[in-house]
Amino acid sequence: MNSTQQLGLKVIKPGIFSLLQDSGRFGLHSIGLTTGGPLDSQSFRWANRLCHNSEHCAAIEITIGGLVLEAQIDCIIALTGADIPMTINQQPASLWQSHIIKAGDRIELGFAKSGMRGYLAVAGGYNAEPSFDSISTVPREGLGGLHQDGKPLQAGDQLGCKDVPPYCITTLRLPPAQRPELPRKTAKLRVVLGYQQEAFSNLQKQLFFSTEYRITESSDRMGYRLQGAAIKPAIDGILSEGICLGAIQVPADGQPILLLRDRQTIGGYPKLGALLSLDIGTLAQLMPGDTVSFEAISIEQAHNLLHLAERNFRNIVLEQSIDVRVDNQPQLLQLSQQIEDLLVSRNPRGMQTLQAALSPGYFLRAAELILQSRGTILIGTGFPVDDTFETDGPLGAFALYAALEKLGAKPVLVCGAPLADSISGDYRVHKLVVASPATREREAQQALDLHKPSLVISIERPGLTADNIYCNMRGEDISDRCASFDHFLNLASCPTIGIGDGGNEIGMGNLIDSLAELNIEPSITCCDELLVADVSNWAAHGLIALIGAMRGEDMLREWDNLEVLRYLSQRGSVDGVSRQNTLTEDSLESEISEQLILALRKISGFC
Amino acid sequence: MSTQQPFSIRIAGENSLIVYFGDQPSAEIATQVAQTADNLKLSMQGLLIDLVPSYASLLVIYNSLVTDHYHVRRCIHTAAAAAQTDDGQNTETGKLVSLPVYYSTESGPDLQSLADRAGLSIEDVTRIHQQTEYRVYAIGFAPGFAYLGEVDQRIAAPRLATPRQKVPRGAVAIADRQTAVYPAQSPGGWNLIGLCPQAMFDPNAEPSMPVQVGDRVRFESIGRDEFLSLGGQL
Repeated sequence: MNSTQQLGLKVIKPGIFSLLQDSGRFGLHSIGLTTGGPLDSQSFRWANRLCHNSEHCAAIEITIGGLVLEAQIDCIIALTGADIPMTINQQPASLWQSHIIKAGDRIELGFAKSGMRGYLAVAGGYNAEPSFDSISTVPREGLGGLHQDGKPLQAGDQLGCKDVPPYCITTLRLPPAQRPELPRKTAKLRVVLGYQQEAFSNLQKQLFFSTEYRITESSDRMGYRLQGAAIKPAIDGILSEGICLGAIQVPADGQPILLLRDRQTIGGYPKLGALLSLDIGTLAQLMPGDTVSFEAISIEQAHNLLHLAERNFRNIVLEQSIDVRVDNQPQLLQLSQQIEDLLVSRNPRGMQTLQAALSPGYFLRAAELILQSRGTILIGTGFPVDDTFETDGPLGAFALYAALEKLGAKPVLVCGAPLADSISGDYRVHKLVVASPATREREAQQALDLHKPSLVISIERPGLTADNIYCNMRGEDISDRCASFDHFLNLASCPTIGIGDGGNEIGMGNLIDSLAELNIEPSITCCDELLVADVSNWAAHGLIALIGAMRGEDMLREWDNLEVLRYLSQRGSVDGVSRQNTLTEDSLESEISEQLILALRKISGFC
Repeated sequence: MSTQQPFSIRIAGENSLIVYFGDQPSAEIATQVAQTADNLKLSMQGLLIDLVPSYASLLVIYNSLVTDHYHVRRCIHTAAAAAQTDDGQNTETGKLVSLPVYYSTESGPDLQSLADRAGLSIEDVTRIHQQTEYRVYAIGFAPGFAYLGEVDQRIAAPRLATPRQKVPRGAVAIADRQTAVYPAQSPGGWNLIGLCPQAMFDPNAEPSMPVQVGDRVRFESIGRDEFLSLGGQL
């Protein structure tokens, strides 16, 4: 189906200037294409995160306001950025939190009371045919947008988006204290000196850094033109050269121009340096007539600030609440807790201790993350035992893989040798290699860039300890034969789920204090939602049972546990406890797992 | 032997370094820029966000969450040093692209005035324009706009005092010692001397541009009929 005809949100009024923007168009400066993308990237990221989206998903950048949409399907939305009043069916709806929208609902945006640009995201992102790998609208280039012609949204446009099933019940909210502060008429912007900065005398620099510049009317997504003290470099022009984001260009009249997301890729005016990207979002919320001033920082300070901001963004915990318009939530939460209890009832490795430290409903929250993701889902698994791998992990990963395919997602298993090679004929596999600690992050980033996942799941994958090594349950250092999956979760720009049954797996970092009570070298790697079970594989079955209950489908019915154990055994698997090539999981016969699966199906109402 | 151009690296912004290979454009420098860019694409996989090659510089934009400017400087040193060694072996770098042009006063409204100003005939101007093998020095201004240099001094011409509101797609133009083919209709102040029927930028084609920085370009005169048969529009 043509994406322009897909059901979703219909534009009743486009507002003053509303553009579809994803994170931008990259790697194409060499043919003269600019990046595009959101001018206030922090607010954009928040809008996506509030919808459980990867930060690459497209959102609508609304300048000033006036956008009116009508929902044709059920979906989840969130508005962030400028203080633009929003109503859903004439009822005021808060910014900085997600809202469940029903088909027929009308979403109306007023005009910004403070700030300049808002971001409206929808769970799963808006669908549009990308141009050069991106949906970002660049009017100047006639590229991107809903119709790939660089045009802003028009009345009658139909923004295709994902139908969110009615069982989605929790909404997310960014606590007020964590929201980026909107500038009030003025802002101080941080600058890394660079380019031709030496051509500006100390006097000229002092003038620049002591002047309060006014933002002029001719300011747009390409650049903000300023008016104030003219500064003059000792040179007139330069050979045209590449312009980075935030570059401060000084043309012949001495009035600086701050170059933004739609900037020209090359230019021949001298430049003093570039803004700290974190401050571009602040600038984007200022209007013509407002003022800015500048302060210089070193590139090292900039680097530290960027890392700090990234860490803060990831560490902020969103508040969850139950949407009042949904009525089946209590039953689902109850089922989730039943599953959570059942899965730790044998308690061979003290998982009941960890369960007590988790906020109940973790299976439900993880199930929602799965149901709301689309596209590629990475599933890391495989715990090395001697020269091979154990049955716990891969079996659960296969079960998730099959369930995710049924949901229309594209799962990819991420594992090391020899597991990766032995299953690559039957599954999509991304092979991990045992790399030196220094290159682990880079390899994870490359893989994330390649797959652009909407969700990353780790099931029974060793996690780094505080000493930056990998240990098995016996406390032996297995770093020299253990590939690293940790940074897939650390660097992912999408939600992450960790599953474990001992304390040394990826995700257990969430419970670092409780792990002190267990006799284990704990992993410090964290995840968004941690699931624990007596056997990690069982958590996969529990998750599938719950998703099935939410969809009204008996998704575990066709699962043949023994058959999958045979498949793994033929490929050299061993039991993680006994280290023997047997048809068992953590020394438990397949029959035990089969009984558990039956119990899961029963409590979710299927047999 | 080619001259080994020294290069310098400067900070551009929080996640960008700019490499300067000289202060005048030349074929050698264009080659060096292009080869350094190619080398960095390979050696900085997973770290690189974008590259902007231009006349005598290369802007390197990296992911500052996974690397830092010290590491990127080392990558640049290695990549640029390898490029210098390479161009000693081969001066005929970059592919040679031939572009057809319908030169006429009908397709090039500034051809007559440019010829008059140069004290040459129209035939002389178009012959001289075809004699040079140009280098793609930079791409920018608009998607697919390739700056070609250098135009023979005899037919160099300053920009128009008043830029046109609409320069047609495919317009072949001269400004100072640079020449270019407009990839799409846009405003512009260059002197128009003909029309090229070949698309210089097509988002749906692979590659979307027939040339890249460092390539070489020759223009070849075609007649009106051939121009039209190649899909050109007047």
